[in-house]
Amino acid sequence: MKNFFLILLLIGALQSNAQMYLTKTGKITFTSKTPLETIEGVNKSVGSLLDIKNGRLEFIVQIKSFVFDRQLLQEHFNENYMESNKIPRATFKGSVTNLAAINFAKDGEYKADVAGTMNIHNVSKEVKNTGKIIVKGGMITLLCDFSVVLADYNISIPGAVKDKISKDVKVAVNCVLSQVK
Amino acid sequence: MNQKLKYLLIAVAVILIAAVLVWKFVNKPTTDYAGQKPEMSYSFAELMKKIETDTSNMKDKLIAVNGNITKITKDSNSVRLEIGSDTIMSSVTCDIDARYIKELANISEGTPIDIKGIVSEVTVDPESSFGNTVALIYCSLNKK
Repeated sequence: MKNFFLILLLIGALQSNAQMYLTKTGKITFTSKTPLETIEGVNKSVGSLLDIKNGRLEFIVQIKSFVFDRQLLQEHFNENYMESNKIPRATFKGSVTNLAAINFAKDGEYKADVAGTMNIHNVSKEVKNTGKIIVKGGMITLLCDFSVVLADYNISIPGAVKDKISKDVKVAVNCVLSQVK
Repeated sequence: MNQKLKYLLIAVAVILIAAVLVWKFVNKPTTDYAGQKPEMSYSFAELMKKIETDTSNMKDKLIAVNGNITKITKDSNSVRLEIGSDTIMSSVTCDIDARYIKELANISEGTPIDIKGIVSEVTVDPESSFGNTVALIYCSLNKK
């Protein structure tokens, strides 16, 4: 009898994993463009999770994993703007709200409406956005572009460089999720 | 007149040198760690065991990890991989330094690798769906 319940528990655990898709190597790029300078930071260690049964969607972004092409930019980004030693990560917790419109069993591109709470620099905001979900060969790719107004998240830009950094930065999300075994 | 010209040339030279130094400082590329010796070396299992009890003195350090590649993600200008095990969610993520992507052209999932990189984050949360994670950036092969 005890074994029977253990088997039931195991089957339940396997079924709950079967609907989960995850990556820890997702990519987020942010771009600040002004007439004086274009700055791009890329983070390729983004954690992302999608539960295709209920639409639960999560992103975890380790701020220190953003990489720049210049040392000075990297230092300023971590020390002056994002204070990554104090606030090491940004998160999004929400869901895909039009789940019925997406057929995860069939390869294709689907429009995805997403809503949830984004936390950057210890400031939480409710956000809504539309992105794209690509289902192909058992993998799920999440694509989304949006803007972040730095002042909304208490990220201040020193006067000396205010003409070189855009007040709102463009963010591009590209995460390829595979099924949790 | 000659004296004035001399001072003028010295001033121009000083300004030029200062401008070059400032330009070099502002545009200095990120550090290349491929030639540096890692401060610590671990097998994947050793590293996962260590972070369960002690994550001190790890962040921003150059470490080497050897283990099996469980996932490779490639796109037009980047390669990142995960070192781990099929039986646990915990893993080490490696963002390969763009300068060394060519060195890793022939890697494949399921094969062993010895890699080094800067620890950008250590996340210990066994309750999370993501498991424990050590994130490395500026990764390159650990050549002994």
